[in-house]
Amino acid sequence: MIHAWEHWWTRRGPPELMGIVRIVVGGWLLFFWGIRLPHVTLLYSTAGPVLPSVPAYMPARLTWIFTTVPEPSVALLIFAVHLLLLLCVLLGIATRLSAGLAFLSSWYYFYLSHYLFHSSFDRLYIMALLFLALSGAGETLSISAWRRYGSPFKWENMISVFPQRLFALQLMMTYLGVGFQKLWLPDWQTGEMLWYAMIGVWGTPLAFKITALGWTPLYHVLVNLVKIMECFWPFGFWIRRAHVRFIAFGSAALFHILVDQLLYIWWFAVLIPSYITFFEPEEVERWLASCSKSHRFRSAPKA
Amino acid sequence: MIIRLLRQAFLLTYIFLTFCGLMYTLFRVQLPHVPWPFVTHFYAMMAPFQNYVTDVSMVMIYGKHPDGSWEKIPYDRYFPFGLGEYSVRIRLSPIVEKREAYRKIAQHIFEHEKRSGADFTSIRLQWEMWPKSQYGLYENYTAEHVTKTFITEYPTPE
Repeated sequence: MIHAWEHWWTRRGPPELMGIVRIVVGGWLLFFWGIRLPHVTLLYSTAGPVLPSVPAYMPARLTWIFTTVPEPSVALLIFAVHLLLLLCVLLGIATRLSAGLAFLSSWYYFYLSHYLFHSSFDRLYIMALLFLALSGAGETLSISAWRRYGSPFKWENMISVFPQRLFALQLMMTYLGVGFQKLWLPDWQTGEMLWYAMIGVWGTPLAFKITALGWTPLYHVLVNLVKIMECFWPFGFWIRRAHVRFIAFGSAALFHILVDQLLYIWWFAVLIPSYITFFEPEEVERWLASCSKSHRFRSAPKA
Repeated sequence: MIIRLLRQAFLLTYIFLTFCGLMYTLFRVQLPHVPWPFVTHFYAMMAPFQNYVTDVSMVMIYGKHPDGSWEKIPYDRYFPFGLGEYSVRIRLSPIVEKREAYRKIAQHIFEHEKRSGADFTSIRLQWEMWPKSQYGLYENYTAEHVTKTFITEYPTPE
């Protein structure tokens, strides 16, 4: 049983899946942070109303890192470094190092400013960088692969599935907590939850167009549907029979698209391509090979 | 061998902390001797959007002119976020000393407006609350519906 546990969590497999995850996460984070570029000094320097916090258990001699809000020029420099690290993650340049440093700089920004939003996605993004720092996601589909093997699509070393499993575990637990909690939360027992969310500060123009049509018991149905699906997804993602997992992926993707269109909560869109972590690396390798029959992705694979 | 052990140690710790977060998410149970910051971190990845309110609450920013009139300052001049994100951030939920924090915000805005050439003699922050409407966010933002709660003013009026 121990062997089966260890095999499932840490066996080695083709690296294309984690390469795709690296590109998705790196690209998304580059976009997420890049759109803040016009407001860097307002958000992260003395030019703006910044109220930093200090992490618990921070050694006293290091608290200045967070309590000292940087001058605008320094803030821009730090931000430029952060963007550069994310670009390196995207391109697969020194992936472990760049993801690890981006993990640290993300925590810096969290305690400088983002903690006030105390959102789930900020923490998910930070954990994603930690998983990438532990991974061999730069083995292929990367600049590193280009330098080492002459092509960004080639690879030689299998990598551990461990970071991929962590990704999948985190996604599963996020939906599990979110879904099962709704089963007992008082406000989630009626359609008013959706109604008042749509007519609040998160409501989009499309949401108000819909609510202007008036209240309908359909909101009760939709809230219950959300609860059913959120309880289904943590398990459905893993079930390969009868294409159950594709039903889970598709319905979850639709949910996130609707949440974006009705509530302008777009930050979870990156979860959609992240569902790839529920596949086995060999499945992705076979699919990529079938997409490009003339192009061999491997050179001489090593176990 | 060492890497194997480290990996398993990391994994078991991660699963344990995730479990702690799940216990708090589902049952509001905090396992003993587990530091709260770790529980919070994993809980926060599992439990957004737990309840709803029937009113809109927002911190509005006003500048006072020398003639005594007040001018509303757009929030996104200092908080370049969408309205939803602004409304969560400005609550300053994680901050214990909120009064001081709001005062710092008002002070910063006052000094920045002064440097920009505005003639404000003070900056006021106040909560404004009005009932939600299915026809638009500001549909009920009228004198008869809005309730105002003073937060802070900088400089403090004599």
